[in-house]
Amino acid sequence: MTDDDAVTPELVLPPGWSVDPLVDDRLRRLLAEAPAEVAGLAAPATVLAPGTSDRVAAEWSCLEPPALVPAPPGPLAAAVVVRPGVTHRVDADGVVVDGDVLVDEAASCHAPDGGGGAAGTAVAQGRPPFPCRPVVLLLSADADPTRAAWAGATADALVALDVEGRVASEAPDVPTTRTRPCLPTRQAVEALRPEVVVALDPVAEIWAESWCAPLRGTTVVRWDPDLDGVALVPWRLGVAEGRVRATVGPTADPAELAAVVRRLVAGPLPGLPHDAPATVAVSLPGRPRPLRRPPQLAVIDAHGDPAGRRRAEALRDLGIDAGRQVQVVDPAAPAEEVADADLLVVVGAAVPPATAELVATRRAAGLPTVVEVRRADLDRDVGGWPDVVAELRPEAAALVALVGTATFASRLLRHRTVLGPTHRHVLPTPLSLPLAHRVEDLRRQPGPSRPVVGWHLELGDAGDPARRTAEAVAEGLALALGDADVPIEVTGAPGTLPVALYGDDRVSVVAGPPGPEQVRRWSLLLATPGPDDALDGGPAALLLAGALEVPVVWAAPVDAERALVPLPASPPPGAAPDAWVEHLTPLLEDAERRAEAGAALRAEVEGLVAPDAVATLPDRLARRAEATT
Amino acid sequence: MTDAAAPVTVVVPAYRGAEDVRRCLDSVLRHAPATTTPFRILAIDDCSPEPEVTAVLAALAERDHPVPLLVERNEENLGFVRTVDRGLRQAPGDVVLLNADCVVTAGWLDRLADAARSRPDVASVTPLTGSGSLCTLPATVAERFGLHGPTPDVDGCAELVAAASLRIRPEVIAGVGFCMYLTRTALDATGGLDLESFGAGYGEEVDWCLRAGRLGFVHLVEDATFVHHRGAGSFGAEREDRTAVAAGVLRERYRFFRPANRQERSHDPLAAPFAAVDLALAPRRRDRPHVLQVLHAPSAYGGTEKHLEALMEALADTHDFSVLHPVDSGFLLTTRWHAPDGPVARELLLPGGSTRVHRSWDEVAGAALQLAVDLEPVDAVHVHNLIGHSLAPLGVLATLDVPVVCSVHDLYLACPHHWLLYRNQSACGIPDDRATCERCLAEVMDRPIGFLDEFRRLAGLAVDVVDDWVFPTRSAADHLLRVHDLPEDRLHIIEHGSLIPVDGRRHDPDEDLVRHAPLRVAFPGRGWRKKGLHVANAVADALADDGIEVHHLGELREAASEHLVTHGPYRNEELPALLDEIGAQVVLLPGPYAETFGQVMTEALVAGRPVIGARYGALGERITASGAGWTFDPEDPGEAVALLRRLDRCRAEVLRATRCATTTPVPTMADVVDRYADLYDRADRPAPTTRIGGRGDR
Repeated sequence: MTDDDAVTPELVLPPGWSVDPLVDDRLRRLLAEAPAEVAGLAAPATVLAPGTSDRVAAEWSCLEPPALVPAPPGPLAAAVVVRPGVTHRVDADGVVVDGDVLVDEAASCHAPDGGGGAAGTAVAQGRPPFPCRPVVLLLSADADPTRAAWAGATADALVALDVEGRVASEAPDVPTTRTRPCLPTRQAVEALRPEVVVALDPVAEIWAESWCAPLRGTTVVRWDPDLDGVALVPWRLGVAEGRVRATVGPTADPAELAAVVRRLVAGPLPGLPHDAPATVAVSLPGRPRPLRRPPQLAVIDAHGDPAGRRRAEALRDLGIDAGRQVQVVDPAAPAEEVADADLLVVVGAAVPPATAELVATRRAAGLPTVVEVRRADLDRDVGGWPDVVAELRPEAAALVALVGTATFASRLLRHRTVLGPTHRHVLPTPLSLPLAHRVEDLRRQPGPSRPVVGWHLELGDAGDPARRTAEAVAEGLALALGDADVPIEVTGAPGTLPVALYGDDRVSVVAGPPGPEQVRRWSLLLATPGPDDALDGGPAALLLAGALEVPVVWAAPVDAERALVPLPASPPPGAAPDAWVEHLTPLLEDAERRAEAGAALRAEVEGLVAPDAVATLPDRLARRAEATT
Repeated sequence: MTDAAAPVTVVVPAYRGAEDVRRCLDSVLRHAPATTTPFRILAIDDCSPEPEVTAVLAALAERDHPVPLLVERNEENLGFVRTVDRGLRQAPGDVVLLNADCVVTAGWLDRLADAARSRPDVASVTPLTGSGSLCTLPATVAERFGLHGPTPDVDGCAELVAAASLRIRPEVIAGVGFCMYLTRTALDATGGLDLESFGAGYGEEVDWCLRAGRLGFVHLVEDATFVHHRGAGSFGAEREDRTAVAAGVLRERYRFFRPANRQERSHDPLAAPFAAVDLALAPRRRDRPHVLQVLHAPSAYGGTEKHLEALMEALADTHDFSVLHPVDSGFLLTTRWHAPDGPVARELLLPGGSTRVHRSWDEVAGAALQLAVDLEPVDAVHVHNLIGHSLAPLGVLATLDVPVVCSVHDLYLACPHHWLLYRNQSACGIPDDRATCERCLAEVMDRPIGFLDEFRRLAGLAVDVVDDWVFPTRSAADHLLRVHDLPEDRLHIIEHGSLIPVDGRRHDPDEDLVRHAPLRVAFPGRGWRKKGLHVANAVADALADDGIEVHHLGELREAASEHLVTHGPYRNEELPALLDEIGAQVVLLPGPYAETFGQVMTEALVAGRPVIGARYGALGERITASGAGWTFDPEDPGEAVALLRRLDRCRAEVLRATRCATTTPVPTMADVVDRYADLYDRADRPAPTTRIGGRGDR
């Protein structure tokens, strides 16, 4: 012990625990200001939120005002700064201090078991509040345990190297200690805004390209199981492959990967520049915080299925983008303050008793609630293309009747739901605000100089009714085009192409949903979504097309009125190729007609795609709900 | 019709000065045996009032000579012009008019004749001299060889001129009559001298030259030939009167002459040849490598210029330098070297356009560089910036057999809009989407996309021409790699040395200031969009009610927000003291421009301040590597606002970054200069992996 040790407060930690220097500094300052009888200040160990690291969690915690409470008697699972001369010890249950200790509940320290755990929805606090260390998202679409293990170890190692590694994986148990995995969703990318995404499988790479579209600076590192180490991919014009700038293999040294990450972050931006005015309105990024007043928007995901989860996340992000204070609520135990939230959205009408009670309380208080009806709320399955209708399950019907307002993610779902007197709104998942801005930029740019046909096509097996429709549409399209040099770009999950398009060198196929840049290249979109996609509010291609004033032709085996958004009538289900020739020819030949149709569609979706409208959508939803309360 | 292939007639009119006449004709006869051009001499005594003149001519006429010498005498004094005209009429071919007070030198006639036949449209050729209007050598040369004294070293001067000559034979508006080679073709076309208007003497040769010029002929100066002219010996006291009369006639007859003459004087076509001779008076020391630095148009604020100045100063003990850069009226070549007798400094304006070069490939700029290396051999060329030069210098560099180093201070070689700011607003990232570039170029440069394609194709030549690429950061290299396939083994990352003193650098944070004083943010640098003034304005507005002050230091080029505290221009070395004075804890560098280095960040580190800068580019690289600050997206001022609010609430984080700022190594130029010297001196470098024409066999 040195002389300094004798007069300087001492940091006491259980073995293997860590505390960030910022938290250490905070505890020391608080201790210096505390009454002399306070022997120590403690930062409790916390469990990391999905998508965070111990370091970032500590940094965020230091932004919160101190929340000091007396420590309970006994060992503390905490890091404690104790005054000089105060006796203390560390035992199996934590730190024991002889004297009064205050716990700063806003601060945190990290225990070895504080990371890892089940993946959850990434929180916006996963990004450092003091951006200096780049964020790297190790993204996988599958649950391969070997790659998940590699990703977990690498993420932890990167954090130690001043790079914020994160794992996004469906794998049930990703072994991490300094980071907490999150689920591989678009929302994770939007929350963490990673500078680099390591795509651990081909699907993840497609996701990365799509999800990172609004993030100009994000580069992608491709997984190569046969590669020894890390290798750069040339990013020279004419050679580069989108955002992919490097490859990494299973034997890569994290230090080497960290060096490459830093290099990529400082390199040329892979995304296109925006056309929006550079002087944008200053808006602070919203983030969930410990609430000091009721949230302006609360979202409850009652079902927890993947589609419902995506929907809840989108609604939550919409609120954040709109600058609202948002809280996502556990349906089984909703927080008390949610009862006073300005607006409550319940995704799924079959809710636990606690949620039903909450809704009833709000109803009694005259506070608006919206119930989002999901497929699972119906008493029979309405999936597939033949039109099948169903009624709400009794408990769901009761809830909808209580609130008086129901929303549906698609026109198709609303059509297939038999419902009593209720205010019904179709609310397709709107574009996120960043995407809306990006799309708006694109819209202002010149469109294609010659016709280009896009076809979002999702086909099942041979028995899929959509296949018959697609064959007729393809034949009609081929006849309408003749020998004209009109590119046909197919996206989605086309399985096998319709026969009429076989061998046609005008046809190109890109798996996955189209991004806004691709839709911008099109002068006409044929929409043949899969039935699940159509029910759950997709495909986003339709909204993008509407936003970009690209006319859409409904080419699915149900009437166009059941499309995601209102569309002009198209040949009915089962129509022959000739009907499609008649329908498509004027649109293909007449640019003016296409422009009119595009403008009309834009007007229909304006409220879901225009940045201003997106930013005010929660307000509008609240007003609608209030009107029925 | 006379015969252009006939022997040249050297016409020497004589009136006064027997000694001059004797010396002149002796010099012609002395060099005759070595002259390959067939010629004869026609000396005409214009009824000289000095019997000695007649006697000298008579004595010469009686002797045998290697070339025919014909002496004639006017029965009465006709005057200089009519005497010359008599000679012209007798000449069957080309003619040299040689004043009797001239002394010719070795090779004179062969070189004049060669110049006259170098192209079909030559009317006249004039050599250099010690006294002959615009053909007069610099005073330093005249002084060295005593050209105006009683015993001029004529042959010594001629040897120097021949050795140092650039041999560019510049065109002039009119030749000078002391010694003028006239081609028979031009004589036939113009009809000879105007005896009516200029019969008394002076101005006749100018009139003839201007008439020839109107017919499409040109007049050359043979810049490797020296002919001594004692000067002012022909008309004595009448000279001024005759000059004034002749000038009046010329003005009246050729309205363009005066402005054209003035233009010629200001853009002296002989400046380069004279500079070559002048420089030859002070030869370089061979033990000091001579490096030519190629720079863009300098400005008072430019970091590149300051960097170059510091580099040259740091190597001043071992290397000589010349700097070539464009100016409004051409290209300025500044040479500084150590001759055996001491340091030499010269400034020379090389010919160029009246405005800066704007084309992708402008031969004028290539010619300027060629001239610069011809003036004095170089041991290495260091290109810092080609803006204002076009890409044409690459064609010249490809022919040089010396190391070529290119420092990338900006990304001009990637895009002529070298800020890489899409529509001057946001970092473009060098997109692969041609439509994006098309929109941007049309708006900011009024250029079509094809211009960019051609520019990049031409810039691609640099890949093969440059031996060593120097980048101040890896990020700068990675940006250029977006466009050009540079060989990795020729890339060198050399951090710029600090341009301000580091001696007084703060090594301990002022904890009281960091922890307890109101948060103050300083934005140093030129106040315009490129450097992010619009972002700083937005940040200042947003933080106006938070008690966080935002200060701007530097020249303001655009309007500042009322919430931005402005301090005006400062000198770089003053920044640390100014930050102390303001009490700023953090430096904000909000420009969307992808910096290649960021000298201001270095200055902030010297001042012990952490920096907020763009996530991409050199600032992002340096901040991330050092931990001395934070990064953000300049397109989203809200990010900077949010960050500053957080920093205000968490001063421990500011302190952490401040500690990094005070401990991050900041090299000086002295620390890095050896690496540049190594590149200049790499004569034994391995052969390039890829080469373009002219350099492959080096």
